[in-house]
Amino acid sequence: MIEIENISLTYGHGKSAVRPLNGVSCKIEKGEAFGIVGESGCGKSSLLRCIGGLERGWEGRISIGGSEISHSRKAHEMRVVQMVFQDPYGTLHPRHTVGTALFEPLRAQGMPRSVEIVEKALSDVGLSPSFRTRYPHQLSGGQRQRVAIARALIVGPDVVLLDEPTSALDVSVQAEILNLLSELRKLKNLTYILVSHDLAVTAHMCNRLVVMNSGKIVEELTGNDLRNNNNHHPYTRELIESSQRYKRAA
Amino acid sequence: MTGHQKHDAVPLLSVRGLCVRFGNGNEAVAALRNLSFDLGKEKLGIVGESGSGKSTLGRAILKLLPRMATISADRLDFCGSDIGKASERQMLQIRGSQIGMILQDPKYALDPTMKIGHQIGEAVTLHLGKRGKDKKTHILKMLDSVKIRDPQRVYELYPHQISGGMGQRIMIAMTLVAQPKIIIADEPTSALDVTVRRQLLELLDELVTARGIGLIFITHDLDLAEGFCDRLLIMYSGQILEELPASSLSNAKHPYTRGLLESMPRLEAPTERLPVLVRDPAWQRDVNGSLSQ
Repeated sequence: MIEIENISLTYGHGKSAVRPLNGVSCKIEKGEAFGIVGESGCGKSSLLRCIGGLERGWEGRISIGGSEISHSRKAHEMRVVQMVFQDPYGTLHPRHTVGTALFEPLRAQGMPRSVEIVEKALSDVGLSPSFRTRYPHQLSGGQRQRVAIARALIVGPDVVLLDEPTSALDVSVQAEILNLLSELRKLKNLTYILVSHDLAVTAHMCNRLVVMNSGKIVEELTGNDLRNNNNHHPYTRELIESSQRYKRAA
Repeated sequence: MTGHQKHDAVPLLSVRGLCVRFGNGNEAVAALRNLSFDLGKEKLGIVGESGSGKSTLGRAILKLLPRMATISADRLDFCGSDIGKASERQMLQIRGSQIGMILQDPKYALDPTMKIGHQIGEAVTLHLGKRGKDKKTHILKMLDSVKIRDPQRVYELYPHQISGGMGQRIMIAMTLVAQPKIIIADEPTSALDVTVRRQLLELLDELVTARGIGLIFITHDLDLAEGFCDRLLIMYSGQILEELPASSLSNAKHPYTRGLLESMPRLEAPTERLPVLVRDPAWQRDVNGSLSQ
């Protein structure tokens, strides 16, 4: 579904240049849930933004669904890949109703717009049609994230990029959203790329994941590898160790 | 609701029947309802989801709530004196010097226009009355005590030039200047990476234990609280639903605590679907039985 070959990204020039991505390659199959883990600044979100078309200055090769992607994308190429961000409050316009927010991607894609389509999208994510007329501040964090998911899915994408989709939510709400995402993936045969700092969440959602550190992929693991401590890179070990429960110094 | 755990003879903080309401009359919202607990020289975790009142509790102890809030308590004793009745002037003597606070995000809690050294220096002058060379030596000593490797260099830096983890160390250093008896830490590690979080917790643990400080550790993270704290209070809709030693969190009795624990994905126990917490309206009732408003 997605092939990434030797992607690099550079900000700035000369001495002050920083490279959030430094030669990343990976392949993601159709219908797969693929995880990217690492600490802040490791380049995991940058990689996601390159795939999603939010970064333009990358070098290398990205192909999605068999066709190579150029730096500036056509609308139909944008439709295929949609994104859900960490903070749903920051990504919903405070003065647009939920209905307006869901119309927007349809308008941008030149797709037919109707109340029925919006209500269907809302019911897909477990919200009642009455949410169409509400504003973001009238929703809870979990409901907002459901709207953000509905907005991503309304144009019928093949790939959904999830950037820390539950880290702003309480654990009880996180469980609901993760279940919803798993169900939708099966139902609509979606491909997910999930970026998270939470290893347990990533292992729960993804069959395969990569560990990133300073702009590079250091190791690729399956969910089971992670569970059975079957890893080889010292950085992976450090990451796993520090995300285990804090134990008082003996 | 107060447990009869072994505490020091006089607890550092003793709270009975603490209530906080926002607004007046019919529209008033009860943010805290009838809370009672004691704090000794221990690490007490206040655990709850957003809106449970955990941060309000931390602020109510320091009387740092907005004017629309009304605080009432049968008793709010700090080391034997009633801060429930303390005036604003008396509270100024207590805040910082007796009860310190560490906030979630050093990016917002530090003054962006002031050098790190000068910010700590304010606390040193205010609480210890030190000036000049004496003051600088003390600041460098504080930076060293929170394991900042190069205190001389960090002294001259501005907050935007340091990392989140270092910022949080500086917050701890500032709080410790006055040698408070109690520290209230409101989600001190939530803005940090997992790798940095561990180092910071180790540091906090070490400092608090060595100085015999009572720590109130406010967090939404059950796993973290279990490993770090000695005792936990589980909060839900402004009340303490359950109190238990941190080591026996996995044997929690209350269905709310159990539900929260079960809804977390676990590395060691993969499942297809995560159990979803079903909220029982009975949890909203007053703990003593009567239905709240």
